[in-house]
Amino acid sequence: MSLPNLLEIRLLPPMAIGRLGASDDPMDNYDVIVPDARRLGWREVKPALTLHVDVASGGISGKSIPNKLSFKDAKGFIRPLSPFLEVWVRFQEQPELVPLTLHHLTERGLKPSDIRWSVHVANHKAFRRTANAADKIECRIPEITDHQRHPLPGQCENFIKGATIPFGFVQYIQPTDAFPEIRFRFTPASGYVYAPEGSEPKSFHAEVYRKDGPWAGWPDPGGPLSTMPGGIYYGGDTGKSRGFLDDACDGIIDVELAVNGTKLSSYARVMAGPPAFAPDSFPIRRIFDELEMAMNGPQSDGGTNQDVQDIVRRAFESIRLMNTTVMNGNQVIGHGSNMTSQDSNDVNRYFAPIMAPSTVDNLAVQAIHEYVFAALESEVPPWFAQTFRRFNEIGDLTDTGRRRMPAMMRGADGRYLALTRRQLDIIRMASGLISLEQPAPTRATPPLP
Amino acid sequence: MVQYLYAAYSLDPASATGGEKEKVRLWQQQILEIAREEMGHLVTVQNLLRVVGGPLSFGRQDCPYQSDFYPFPFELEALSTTSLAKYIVSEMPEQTTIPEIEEIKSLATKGNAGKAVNRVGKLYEAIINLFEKLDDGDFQPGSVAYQADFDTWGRDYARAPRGTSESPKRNAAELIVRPVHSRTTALAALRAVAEQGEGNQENESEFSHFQRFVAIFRHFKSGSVPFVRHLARNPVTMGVTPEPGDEPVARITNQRSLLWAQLFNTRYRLLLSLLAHALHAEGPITISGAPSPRGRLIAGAFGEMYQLRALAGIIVRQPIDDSASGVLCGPPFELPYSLALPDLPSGRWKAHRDILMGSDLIIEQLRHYGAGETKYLDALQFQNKAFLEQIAPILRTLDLPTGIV
Repeated sequence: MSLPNLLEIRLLPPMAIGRLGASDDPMDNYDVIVPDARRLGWREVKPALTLHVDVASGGISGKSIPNKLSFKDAKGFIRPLSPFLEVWVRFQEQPELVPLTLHHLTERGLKPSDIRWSVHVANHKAFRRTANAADKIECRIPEITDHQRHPLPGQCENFIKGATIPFGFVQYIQPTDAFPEIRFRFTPASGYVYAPEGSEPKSFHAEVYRKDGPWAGWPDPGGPLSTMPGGIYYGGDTGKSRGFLDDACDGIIDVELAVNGTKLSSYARVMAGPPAFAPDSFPIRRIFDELEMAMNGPQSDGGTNQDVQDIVRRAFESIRLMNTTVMNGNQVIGHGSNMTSQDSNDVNRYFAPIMAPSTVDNLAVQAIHEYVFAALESEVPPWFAQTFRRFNEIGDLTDTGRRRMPAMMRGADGRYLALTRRQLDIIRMASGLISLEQPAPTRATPPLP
Repeated sequence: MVQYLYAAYSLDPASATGGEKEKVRLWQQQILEIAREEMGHLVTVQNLLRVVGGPLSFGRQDCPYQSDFYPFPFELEALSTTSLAKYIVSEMPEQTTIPEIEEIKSLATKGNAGKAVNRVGKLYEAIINLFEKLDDGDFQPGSVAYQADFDTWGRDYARAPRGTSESPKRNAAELIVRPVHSRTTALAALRAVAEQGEGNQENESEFSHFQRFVAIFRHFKSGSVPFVRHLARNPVTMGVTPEPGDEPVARITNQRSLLWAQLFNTRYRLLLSLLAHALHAEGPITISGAPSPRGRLIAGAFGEMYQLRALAGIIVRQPIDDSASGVLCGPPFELPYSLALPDLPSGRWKAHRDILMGSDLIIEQLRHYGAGETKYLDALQFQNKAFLEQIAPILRTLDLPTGIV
C-alpha cells in the first residue's frame, strides 16, 4: 500500500516571540487566564505542560506541569522564554495539517537529518538610525541537520576585531519515539548591554563597537527620513548616541525537506523581546491587534460586549502599571518623561497637564475603567465609542484631542497612542453604531422650519 | 433630566425591525445626550449658586408631587407622542414657526391633566432678570476656585468645550460646564444653557433640545411604535398616598423586580451623595500630584452614572408584578429621605460607606432570589469592596489637617 504524498510543510507558529534572560534554565510554559469568579481581578498565571530538553543530546527528556512558576532561577537570573517551532505537514487527500513525526519520516525512508534548517537573525537598531550597512549586526547559520546547540554570534563590520554580540542559540530537537514531533527551539540572549571600546562607566557586559564607528556619537538629524521617535537610545538626552547596543534580535528560520526529489520548505519568524515583568497584565494595543488588522483588515466581523471588555480590561491593567499623576504632567518632581513633556519638546506646546490634575489619582483612574467593565457585564451596549482617539488624530494637541482614550500614552511613532482601526471597529459594532464618522444624531434629523 | 432618562430607557432598539432599528437607537441616543447635557446644566447651575453665595442644590420634585417651578408634574413615563409633546413645549422658545406647534401644545395640555405646560425658558428669563438686577458686590469671583469646570467634569463626555474648534463629526453630547465669576459670565452661562434647551436657530454643530424632540415627535407620529417598552408609569418601591390631582403611581410588587429597583435607588443615592461631596470638595489643590480623594469622588460619580445605565437596562426587562399584565418595571429614580450632606468630612465618607454596604445587602438578596445577572452582580460587589478599601484609609487620615476632603 502506497503512502500518501506529502504536499506541503509548514513551520508553526509562523511567528514566535522569545524573551531575553540570562538563566540557563528556560522558562516553564504557562497560561494567563481571567478567573471566572473574579473577572475584575488580576489575571492568573497558571503553570502549563512544559517540555524539558536535554541540551547535551538535543532530545526531550520529559514533560510535566510545574507545581509553581518562577520567572527567575535560584541564582536570581531571569529565565528566558524559548519558543519551540514545529514542522506540520499536509498529506495528499487530507485537508488538515498534522504534526510531522519521526514515524512519517521513517516509513518514507527518511532520517531526521534529511531535514535542513537555516537561521538568519539580526539586530538593525543602530543601522536603522545611521543607515550605514556596516552597522548591521547579523548572524547566519546556513545549515543545521544535527541536534547540537548552535550559538548565534552577532557580527558587525563596525565591531572591534573578533567581537560579537551573542543572540542566544538554536537547537534542532532530536525526535524520539516518545516525542516524535519535529521541533526547533530558539533561545534568546541574556539581555545584556554592549558598548563601544573605552566607554565609561563600565556598567555594561562587554566592549564590542569601534569607538570611531558612526553609531558612537550619532545624532538623530530629525526630518522625515529619521526613525521615529527620535533619541530613544542611551545618550539621546544629549542628542548624541553613546554607541550602546543590546542583544535583542529577530529573524527568519527556514526549514527544508526533500521528498522523492521534491523540495518542500517553510519558514517562521522569531524575535526576542524583553522579559515579562508584568506577566499578568496585557497592553491595550498588542502585537496581536496589529497582526489581526494586517491579516483581516480594519473592518471587524462583529463586536460583542465581551470583546470590548477585553479592551477595557487591558486598559485598567495598563493603568495599574502607570504612575498616572506623573504621566499626566502633574507637578510632582520635575516634569518626568511623559506626553506632556513630549508635547513641549516636539512642538513647543505650552507645558500643561493633559487631564485636570485632581482627576488622575491612580486609584480613581483605575476605578473609572473598572466601573465601565462592570456596567458592560450587564450587557448594556458600550456608550463610549466617541471617546477614543482615531489613528489620524494622534497629533491633535488641542485639550480635547489630548484627552482622547487611550490617554497619556505614547505610540510607536512618538505621538499619542491610538487603538487600531480594527479595535475601534469592534467597539463600534458592539455599540450598534453604523459608523464612527456619521454625522452626529443631532444633525441627522431633518431641518426644521 | 430623570424623566428624559426614563423615556430613553423605554425604547428598545432590539425589538425594532429593519431600518427602524437604527432610527430607534438614534432616538435613544439623542434623548440620552439631552439628559447628559441637562447634567451639564445642573452642574453649571451649582456654579451660579456658588458665585452668588448660595448653597448647592440637588433636590428635585419627587414623584408624584407638583410645583409651579416645574414645567409639568414630575412623571416617569415611557416615550409617547404625549410625553414628547410635553417635553417639546417645556423646551420650546417663546416664538416658533413649526407648523404643528398648536397640535403639540394641545397634546401636551391633554397629557398634563388639562393644564398648560410651562416653558423652562420662562424660568431662565426670570433668573436672568434676577441676575441683571443683582449688585456687583453680590458676585464672588473668588468662588471660581470652588466651582466645577469643564476640565474636571466634561471629560470624555463632550465634543469640545463650547467655543473651541473641533470637528463636529463625532456623535457626542455637548456639555456646558462653566465656571462663572461675574455678572457677565453668569449671564452668558445662563443664556448658553437656555439656548441649548430652546434654541430656534439651526446651529452649525448642534440642534437644541427643542428641535431634537420635535424631530423625534414627527417620526413617532408618522407610524406605529412597537419598539417602546410597556413600562409602568411612575414605578415606586414603597406605598405612597398621592395628593389629590397627582398622577397615580405603580407599586413594584414582584419580589425580584423590587430588589432590582431598590438596588437602583441605592446607587442613585450614591451618585447624588458623591456628586454633592465632590462639588463641596472643589477648591484649589495645594498638592496637585498627591493622590486626591476628590478624584476618587468624581470617578465614583461617573461610575455610578454607568451603573444606573446598566441597572436601568436590567430593570426594564423585569415585570412590575406577578400578574400576566405584561407591564414592565422601570428605573424608579426615587429620592432618598434626605439629600443633606453631613457637615463633617468623616461623616461624608461614612455616608458613602453605608450606602455601599446597603447595596451589598441588596445584592445578596438578589442572589438569594436567583435574580440572575451573576456576572454583573459580581462586578458590582468587586467595585463596592474596592471602594470600601479606599474609603477606610481616608477615614483614618481625616484627622490630619492637610487632608483634602
